[in-house]
Order: sequence, then C-alpha cells, then structure tokens
Amino acid sequence: MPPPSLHGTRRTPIVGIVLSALPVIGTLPLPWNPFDASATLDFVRELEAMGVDFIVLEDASLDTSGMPAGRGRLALEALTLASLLAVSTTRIGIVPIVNTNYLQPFAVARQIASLDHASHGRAGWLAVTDETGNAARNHSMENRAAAARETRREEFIEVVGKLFDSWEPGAFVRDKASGHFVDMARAHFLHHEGEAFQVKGPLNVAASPQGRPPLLRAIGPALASHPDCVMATATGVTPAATIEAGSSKPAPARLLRKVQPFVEATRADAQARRASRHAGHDSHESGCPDGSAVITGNWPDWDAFAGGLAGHPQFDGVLLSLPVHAARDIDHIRRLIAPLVAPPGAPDRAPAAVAPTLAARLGLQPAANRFTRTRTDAFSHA
Amino acid sequence: MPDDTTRQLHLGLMFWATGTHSAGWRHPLARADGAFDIEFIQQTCRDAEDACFDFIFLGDRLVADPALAKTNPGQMARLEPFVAASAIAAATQRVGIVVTTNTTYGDPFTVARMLASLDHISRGRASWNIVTGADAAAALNFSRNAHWDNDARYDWATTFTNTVLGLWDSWGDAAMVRDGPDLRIDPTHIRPARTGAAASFARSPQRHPIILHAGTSERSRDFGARYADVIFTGDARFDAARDYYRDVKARAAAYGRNPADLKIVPGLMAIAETTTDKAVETYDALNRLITLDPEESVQPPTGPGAAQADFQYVGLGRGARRNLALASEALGVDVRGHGYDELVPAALQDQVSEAGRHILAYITRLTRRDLSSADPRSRMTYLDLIHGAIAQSAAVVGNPAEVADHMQWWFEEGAADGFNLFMPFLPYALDRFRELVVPELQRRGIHRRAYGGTRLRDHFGLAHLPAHA
Repeated sequence: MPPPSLHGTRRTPIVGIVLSALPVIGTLPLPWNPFDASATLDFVRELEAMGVDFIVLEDASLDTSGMPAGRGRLALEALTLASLLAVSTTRIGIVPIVNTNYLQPFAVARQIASLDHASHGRAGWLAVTDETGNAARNHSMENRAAAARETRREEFIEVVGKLFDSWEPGAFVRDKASGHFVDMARAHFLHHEGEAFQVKGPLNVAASPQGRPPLLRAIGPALASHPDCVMATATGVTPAATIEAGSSKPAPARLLRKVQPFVEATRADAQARRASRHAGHDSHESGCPDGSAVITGNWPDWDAFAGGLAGHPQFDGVLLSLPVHAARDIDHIRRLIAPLVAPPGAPDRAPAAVAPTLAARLGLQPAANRFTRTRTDAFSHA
Repeated sequence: MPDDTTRQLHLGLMFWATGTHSAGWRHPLARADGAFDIEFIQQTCRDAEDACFDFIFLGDRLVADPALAKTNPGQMARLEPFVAASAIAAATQRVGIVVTTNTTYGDPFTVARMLASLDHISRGRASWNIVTGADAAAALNFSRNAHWDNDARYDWATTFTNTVLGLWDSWGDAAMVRDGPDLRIDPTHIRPARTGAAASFARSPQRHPIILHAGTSERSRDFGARYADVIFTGDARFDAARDYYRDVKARAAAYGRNPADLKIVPGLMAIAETTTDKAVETYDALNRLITLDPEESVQPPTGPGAAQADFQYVGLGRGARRNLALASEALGVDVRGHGYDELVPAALQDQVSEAGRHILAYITRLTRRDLSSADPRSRMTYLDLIHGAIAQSAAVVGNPAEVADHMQWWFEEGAADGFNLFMPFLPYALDRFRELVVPELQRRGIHRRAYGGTRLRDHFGLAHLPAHA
C-alpha cells in the first residue's frame, strides 16, 4: 500500500463537515448553544480525532429580520470562531464561508491569510453569493441580480488570489545587521481596476504558509450532471471558463459531493425523520445553501452510498451537511464517516500520516506564488 | 481626584511584534520575525497577563507600505486583528483584548457580530478601538475613489457606532433562557435595531464590549467623550497630557457621564533596567540602530527603483527624514553641518524655539545628557538632537523606581488613569518591565497583584450594564 502523497494522488475520499448555523423556529428548544465556543471547540476536536479533513464554518450573516418573529440562524461570526478553532487544533482544515456580496476582497484576503498563519497552513475559504430579501439591507446595500452576484464573486476571487500573491515568500528579510526589513522587489501591486472592485495592494499580511489557501465554491450550474458539488482548488488556480468548457472536472481541482444524510436504523425511521423536519429546525435548510443531495436510508444504504462514492472517479469526497437533530451527535457522525475515512485498504489516517496543510490534505498541488514563478523573466531587466 | 489609596493604574500592552521603537527589531535580543508567529504572540500576551495588565492593544492599518519599514515596521504587515484576538483569547484567561476597526471601511453589521463573537469567545474580555482612518491610501484598497474628510468620517463613525450599539442591545436578557435542560429563544425579547435588522447573536458577557477611541481633533474629543470607555492619547508632555485629560473629562461630564467612568490612557514607551546607567545604555543602543538619512537627502527619500516611490503613500511624520536637517526644523535653529559626535554647545539652549526647548528637555530626561555638564560623557551630541527630533511618543528610561515615579506622577497629578505601554522591542523590554517595574508599582499600591474579576469591564472598575427587557 503506498503512503499518502502530500499532493495529487490521494486515495480515500475527502471528508468535510459543515458546522451549520443553527436555524431557530419559534421557541423550540435549541439542540445546542451556538454561542458556546468551548462546546464547539470540543466538538471540532472530536471531528479532528476521527479523521475529518476539514470543517466549513457557516455564518449567520444573512437574513436576520425574522429574529423578532422567531426565525433566524444563529452562529458565532465565522472568522472570529475560525481563529479560536485554528489555534486549538493541529490537523483539521478550517474553512469559513465568505459571502462575496457584502465584503471587500482586501478585508477577506487578510483574514484568510491571517487564519492560514495562525493555523500553520490549514485555512481555506468557501465563497458563496447567497441572497435574501434582508441580507443586503443589513449591509447597507441593494439586492443584486443572481448574474451580477456571480460576476462579482468571480472578480472577488480573482482579486483575493492576487492579494495572496502580493508578497512573495521571503519578502520580509528582517536582516538585523543591515537594517534591511523588507525586500521591495518581492512586493507587488495589483492595480486592479474591475467592474466591482478597485484594489491597489499589496496586502498587509506576509505570504502565508499555503500561499493561496484553498478555495471552495459551488459549481452547480457548470456541471449539469452533478448540480450538488463543491469544487476545491488553490485560490485563483482554475478560471471559471475552464470549468464550463467541459463536463469533467479540471485537473487541478477536487470535487466534493454535498450530502445531507438522513440515516437511521431503519428506512422507515429515516423517512419519518426527513418528513418531520418541516416541523422543526430543519425547515430552514441546514448546510450549504446551494443545495445538497439528500440521502435517506438505513445504515446499509449509507454504507453502500459511501462505498459507491469511494469508487466513483468523478468525486474526491463529500461535504456533509447534517440535519439539525444529528448535527452535534458525535457518535452518529462517527458512524457516518466510518466507511469514508477507513474503507478497506485505505491509507492510515493516524496523525503522523496526515498531510500538514489543507491543500495537501485535499490533494491539491502547492500554490506557487505567480511572481516567484515568473521572477526570472519579470525582473531580469530590473 | 478619586481616592488614591484604592485607585489603580490601568496598564495595556501596545502590541507591535517588532517593538514600538523604529529600530527595536534590530536589537540583538529582539524577536524580529514574531508578527506572524501565533505562539510568540500568545506567549507575549500570557506574559502581560501574568503581570496583571488590563489589556492587549491590537492596532490596525489598511495599507501595507514598505515605507513604514523605516518608522513603524510592526505596522506594515501583521495579522488581521480579530484573528489575532481570538488566538489570544484562547491562550489567556483574564487580560482584555482590544481590537481596532476602521469604521470608514467597515460595515456595522459585520463589526457588531465580530465583537460580540469575540466577547463570547473570550468570556467578556473584548474591546473595540474605533478609528476612522488616518491613511488616505486605504481608499485605494477598498474600491473607493477617495478617502473621506474628517467630518464625513466622524459623521459615519457616529452612525456606525449607534448601529453597533443597537445591535448589541437587540437581544434582551430574557431572549435566550435556560428552561430545565433546554435552551430556548423567546423572540418577544428580540427587537430590531434602528436599521431594521435584529442581531443574530445572543447578548455577550459584557453586552457592550469596552469602547476605545483616540485622537486630538475636536470631533474625536467629542466622539470619545460621548462614546468611549477608554481614551488612548499620545502626547509626550505632561502639561499637554493634563490639559487633554481635563478637557475630555469635562466633555464627558457635559454628556451627563461620570468623568471617573472615562479612563484616559496615554501611550508610554518604557525602558527599565536595574540601574539608570543600564537603562540609558539600552536606550542609546536602540537609537544607534536607527538608520540615518544622508544630510542632503530630499523628502521623500528615494531608494532603488521606481517601485519604491510608488509605495510611498503613507504619511510618515517626523521620522521620515532622519538627519540634522530634520533636527534643525524641529528645534527651530540651523544645526546642520556638525559631526554627529560633536558636543552641542550650551548656547543652543537660548537659540531654539519653544518646541525645541521641549525636545532638549526630553533628550535630557531620557539620556541624562545636557548642554552644560563638565563631564563630556554627560553632554548632549548632535546625534542626540536627531534622535530627539525623531521621537514622537511619551517615554521613560530608568531604574524601577524612576520608571514607577514617572508613571505615578502622571497618574496622581491628573494626566493619566493608566498607560498603554509601548515596549521598544520584544520580548526583552516587556520581561524587564514585568520583573522590575510591576513589583515596584504593586509595592506602591497602584497596580493590582491579582485580577479582581473576569471581564475587562471589571478591570476598569466599570459597572456591568443593567439588565433590560
């Protein structure tokens, strides 16, 4: 059995889990306290110990106008929570959701790069463009049409990728003897002048361990046969045009199937659980807002699904978005991911064998700084 | 004055990983590469907590200008402050954590959520330093055509702050209640802020994280007196600091506040050693590490390549040009053309401007060198004039008693309620302060030996906000 490669040839399915914002329905009891950071940390440490590759931190930045009527979604702010989790764990990837409708790429790039420093290379980000009637107003903005939101997201991603590269590794030389603190030949302006964003740069964060931390995004419209996927690449690696050019995934990407599992002892129980969700917290869809494949069945059904996934060349893994009743049920989650993280013959997931960065864990090539890569050409005349 | 037998200093650590002295990072005992080393940051903050500091102060800027490498290397590139703050919260139990946000380039909904989250995560130790942005160039990173003027920035900062306060008050005390084993939301205790949005977060332990503000403009004094719990100031002179203290406290009273609830915390660079001579030696060593500019240099200084000029988009203040031309301007008399090691003649005292007299006094107070001593080693040199002209912050250099005396003077004579301590380099200068000065302050009864509470509000002696529905 070959050892797991640091990049490129990963065998076992990748497993990500969404840490959902908690939907609130009236005065129903809350299944967990969304503001108890310690409890969330304990939960994430359990996920880390059982071999989960990364967590996605859902935010509660969207529709809050329903809170006074008892409808809303509760979570600690994703970036603030992400940093706490990052410094309190050692291996699991930390992927906050970023809504590109309301933020500025400079602010997000420095947050994610900082998170990558704090986690020693375990940061990623999931770019979404969700919209509700009230979300934009919360941010003193107008609602945008879906197409405009998509365009904005692509430009946002482009700018963040450039900002991540705006300081080459080693630019901060900090040479005490000479007094030379920074090598400005390794700093780069963007001078980005786009439709939605105008950014001069450079970023005010040094190159982070992963350079350009992995980017996750839904690609439903681009892959008609698999409308429920999330694609992972290094930020800025794969232009959208490449995805849309063909139905197969682009080479440097990883494709994760978004799954919401209703799995119980019997199929009848699972159906009942799924049917009853509309009476409870799950009436607000939990997890990735672009939609997930819902799997309903008993444990053999789930094992068959997981086994099929492992043998499916199109998919590199799953992003699990659990129904609210099971979202913090560690035993349930352990059972769910057992056939994924430890299929027969799979590489060992003991800590020593786990790749050190999120990119490596996802099987992505390290993201080389674009300026370092082209340095010889670009600066030979300087 | 409040009762001096119980009144305690409020001490903060101004955290710049490379130290606050512009050449501090070059000191042989300095960590030069700590800005992105989270374990180093956490350890430094634990050290401040061991010394019972009130807070860690995390500043912020929204531009990375390599020109800052000259004057403020710790400000050019660093961790985003909320990421640093949560990491610090994870490593500490009591010390407060001040996060700076620039309202000009932020949105109140996001900032309110981040601060409330930090307050939850830290169990009541979050604090918000409101700045409106001195760096006009931030506009170029945030898709703006131009930086707003001072009035526009303060108009928006006021709206912004009221919105944040409204969101923090959005949930009443009974909005989330324990019901036997269950936790329930009672939506009747959640109301929208005036923007129409309700908060999506429960009331945090302090409800209102402690608000900091800094600034000397009319608008900033007024804003601080109205909204701030703590005001951070920067004047190096006692008289000016005392005047500012009186002015802002009076403004707070005019807003119907108890002036004692508004804490004035000047910045103070502190160099403490076991003896005066050693302290001066450390101060001199730091100053000698400053790279000076050629005497004929023009402003702004140019380096290799056109790219550097393009980077010069931050105002660098007095420290931008470091030579006798700068000293001449600062002192109001032409001192160009002298060797740096030459002794300055006593006659200079009568030639300098009033500002110049303050600079000479500042140099003497820190270096113990003057214009008239018989011993040449106790005489001021032209190099001292340059360093004195560059220096912009309040500072104290001395043995433990001298440093404590200086702090006690400002504290007891109406210029300060505490200090935001600028450590010229880390970790050494903080270690010396903790080992030498903190015990002296504790012996004098003006610094706590243990924390009295768990929240930052407790450290400042501020009442917990009353419950409301």
